[in-house]
Amino acid sequence: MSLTSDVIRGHTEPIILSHLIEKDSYGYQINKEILEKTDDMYEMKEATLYSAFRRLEKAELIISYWGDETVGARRRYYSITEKGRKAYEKYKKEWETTKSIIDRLLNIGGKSNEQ
Amino acid sequence: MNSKMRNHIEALFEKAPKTRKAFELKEELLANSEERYQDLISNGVTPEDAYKNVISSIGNVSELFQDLSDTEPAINLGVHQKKVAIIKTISIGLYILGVVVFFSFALLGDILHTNIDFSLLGLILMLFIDIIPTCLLVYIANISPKYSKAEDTIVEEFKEWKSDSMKLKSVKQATYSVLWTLTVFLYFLISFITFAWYATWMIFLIAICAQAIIELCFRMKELK
Repeated sequence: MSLTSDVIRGHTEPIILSHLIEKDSYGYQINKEILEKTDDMYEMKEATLYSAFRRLEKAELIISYWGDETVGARRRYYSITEKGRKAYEKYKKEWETTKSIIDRLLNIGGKSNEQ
Repeated sequence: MNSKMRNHIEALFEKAPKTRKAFELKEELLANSEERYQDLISNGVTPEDAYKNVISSIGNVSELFQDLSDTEPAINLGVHQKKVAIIKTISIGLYILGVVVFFSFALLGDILHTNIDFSLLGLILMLFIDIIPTCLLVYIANISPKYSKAEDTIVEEFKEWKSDSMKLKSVKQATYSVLWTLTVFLYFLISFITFAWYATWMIFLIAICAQAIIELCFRMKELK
């Protein structure tokens, strides 16, 4: 389990970008969707999420704006930029390559391919 | 909003730098925590468990504060640059004032129709005035922020070393520019006062000597 969360944590930024490609979102919503998508197997810590937001903002891959909630605290929404979309596409390709290499090195589905 | 939860978050931010970014982060965290809390309550979780869940979901915020304080030196640097610009402007102004004082005194004898030559007095005054901007320029060369080590790596050490040597270089440059300006000025001044043009060029030789000595001092400092 610790391997899983470590590996996933390394991909926090593209995970956020993939959520923002669908629609603008905010911290809790993204976290909730991650929980749903992974059938409650994985959830990010708020701190991890926010530091990823800050890094993405700095790199100009996302921008943020405040919602106009009248009740309760204001939400901070994030929106993906054109640069962010490009970075996401590039990342996806890199991940495909990485995944296939790891699969091959760990002989996952590799044996049947070789025979 | 659960006041216990709010207090907890407020306490977390006690150690955070007091910046706009930190306040925004707190507001963001409060909004998200509140929504999580409400969701849990509406799912039938007891307030106590919901509170615990929210707190544990926050994780380690100290890594975030690192990012927030990152912006601080940048602001300080801006202030610093402004200060340097003001001091430089004042210095140049004072140099010009010195020259004006000298010429005023030099012409004073003519204006008053006396035979007393005030130019020597003007020269002394000018040199006294010039002490201030020279000290100021040396001062700003010395207060340039030193690159402080962020991480204990070779790269950081290299940056620090580079920052140090850059600073030393700027001090050297400032010293030289003061030296040569003063030399040229003194050359004309003494020449016009004494009309001993045949001898006054020696001042340049003295200046070259002075520069060599300064250079030597800097080298010695670098070797340390």
